[in-house]
Amino acid sequence: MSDKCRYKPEIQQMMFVSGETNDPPTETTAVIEDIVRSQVVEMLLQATAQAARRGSRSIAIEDLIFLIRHDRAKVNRLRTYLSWKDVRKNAKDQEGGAVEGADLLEDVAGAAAAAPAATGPADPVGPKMKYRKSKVKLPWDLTNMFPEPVPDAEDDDGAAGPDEDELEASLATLQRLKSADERTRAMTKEEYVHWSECRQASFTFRKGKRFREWAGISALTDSKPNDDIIDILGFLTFEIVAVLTEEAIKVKEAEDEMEMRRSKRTKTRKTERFLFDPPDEDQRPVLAKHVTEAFRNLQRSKPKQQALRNFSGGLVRTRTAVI
Amino acid sequence: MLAQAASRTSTQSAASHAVNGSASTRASPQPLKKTASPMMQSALSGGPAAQTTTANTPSKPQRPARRIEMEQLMNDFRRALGTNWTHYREIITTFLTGHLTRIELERELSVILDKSMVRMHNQFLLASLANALRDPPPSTNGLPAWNMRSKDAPLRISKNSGDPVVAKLKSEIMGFTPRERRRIKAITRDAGMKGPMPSTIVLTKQARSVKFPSVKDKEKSKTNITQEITQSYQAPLATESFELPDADNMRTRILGIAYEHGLLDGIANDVPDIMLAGLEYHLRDFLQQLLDRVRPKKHKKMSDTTFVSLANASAQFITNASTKETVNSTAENGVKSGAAVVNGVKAKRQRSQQYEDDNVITAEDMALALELAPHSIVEPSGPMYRLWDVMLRDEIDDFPTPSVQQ
Repeated sequence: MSDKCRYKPEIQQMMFVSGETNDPPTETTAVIEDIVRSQVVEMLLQATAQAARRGSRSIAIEDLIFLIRHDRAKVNRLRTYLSWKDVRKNAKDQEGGAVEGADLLEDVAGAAAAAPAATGPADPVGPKMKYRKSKVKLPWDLTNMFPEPVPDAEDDDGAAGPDEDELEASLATLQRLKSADERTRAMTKEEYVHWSECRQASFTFRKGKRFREWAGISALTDSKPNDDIIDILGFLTFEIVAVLTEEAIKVKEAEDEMEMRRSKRTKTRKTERFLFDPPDEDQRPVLAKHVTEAFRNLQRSKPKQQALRNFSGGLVRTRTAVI
Repeated sequence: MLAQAASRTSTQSAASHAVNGSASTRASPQPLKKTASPMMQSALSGGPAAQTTTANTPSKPQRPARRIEMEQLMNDFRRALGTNWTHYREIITTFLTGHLTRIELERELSVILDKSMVRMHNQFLLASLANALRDPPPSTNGLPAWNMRSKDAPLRISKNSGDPVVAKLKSEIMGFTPRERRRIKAITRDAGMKGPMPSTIVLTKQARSVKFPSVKDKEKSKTNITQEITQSYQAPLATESFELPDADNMRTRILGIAYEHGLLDGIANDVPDIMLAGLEYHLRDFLQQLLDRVRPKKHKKMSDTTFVSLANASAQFITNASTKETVNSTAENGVKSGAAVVNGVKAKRQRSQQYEDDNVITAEDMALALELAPHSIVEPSGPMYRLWDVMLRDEIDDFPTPSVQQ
């Protein structure tokens, strides 16, 4: 907690992309950095425990995904992100880096846009090349529970459409895309360039060593996590900052609304706007207390977890929830 | 009569000891026991002799004879043994505690002692035995010479220290009755720990008393620490000031508690901040749980989407009795949240448009929520019991009778 913020520009960029237009003060970014770091530590600890349950000493990709398995939208986005990485690697191997058209980009533009496009605008995949989008197999998925391979739901024509969770997952993703779309609708070219640069902000892209040192990974796990794990952590940290910012903005708006109602009740109305008035509501950035309150909201335990404790006292042991 | 009988038996035993001295059950060699008998007889005769003298009086027997003066005896013995004194001491101690058998004792002692010293050894042991049967000595430190090694300070016969403090103390203590003195001597380190646990009253008194730490280090001024502790007890509690504590109040109290429990180095600068943050988190958590259980929650995704996410719909507990009391009535029941906090939390949770005509949560709501989930405050405490007790409920509400259909 005593070390100074090392990721302030990245966090600021991520907050900008997630909806915060003003410059956040250093305190806010420091709080967010602390929260992110503690979340990373928690994720690594839980993933290590999960790997130990499996009987393996090193963390695998599935261990990390297991932690966020309840959030289908995020899982899908993560899988898409990982498949893009695979594609890029295969392309580099096969083509030697030749940059071709970006048809593939358009196919999956909708799904991948929410993830930080670490690939950048130049995606060296040509339409001629066969690409294998290897999806990460989730061992806890229903389709993987049978000894025989179960055909995908998409191939089956007579099967029912995607279930409720899938709908909701895609809904959340679409929601995000929609808000991003609305925001960038009125931007000029330079602004949009700036926006796309900010969207590529990542904790781990090309800074793997720095990230490992910052998170103190050597103290957490015995085995050195491979680069895939670090990339996934980078993705998840972006998600954390995005979710925190969105929640903090909601908290701030609710507070401002309450302030307005209270001022309205006491009938002190601002009649005119003067030239040297203090800045408007738009200019007030998200403060640290909003972020902490947002974090607290996200750590809320569901009622189903506490249902059996009704009518009895005692300490409820809670675990830090991975956002 | 009894005394006579006792004296007769003791002399008998003494005599038998003398006769059977050499034929004791264990194989004891001759030199030890030869000189034992007259000594033993004289030692024990002191007892019976005293008893027989008072046989005429039917009252209780007189106190046993005075102790034998051992110090001179021991010093002579020690001088005679010279450098073997330490070894001799060890042997005797281990024998008396059971680590050596008689045979081993004999073997060891035959190395050290020569003929002349055997008699002194016997005298020493028997005198100790005789003294053990009598009253304990007036000075509790016993024979200091016993514990001294031969290379330590040489034999000193010191009767009185001459220290004025000690003399004053001695005169004070002698002013107590013997019974008092015996009671004082009986106080040892573990005096209170044996036996059943003291009663709740005693334990409460111990817990409530202010514990001042003992400062060994001369750097930390003791007066400062006790002053801090008394200050921490004078700081107003949240139940008195009806508001959440601020950083200064927190710091004073934490510092006092730390000192009381032995952390004499004080506390770091941001400790009160963390404590305040934790307190606020806990209070907000509790209020959130309270509101969740008491207030109906609007479904978040209603009109935009075609389906309602079941994960977000939590079970509702709606109370029937929501009067127009304000939330401030909860203030007297132990939750001292400033009005700002409560309003802020309410605003955050409730984003619907019915803020104006919303029903505020009441004391009944709080009692219900606490009854349902006491674990939100971990343990029910005094104010909560009071809250439950002052709730006005008709028994008919608890056991509603089914309406009879005709």
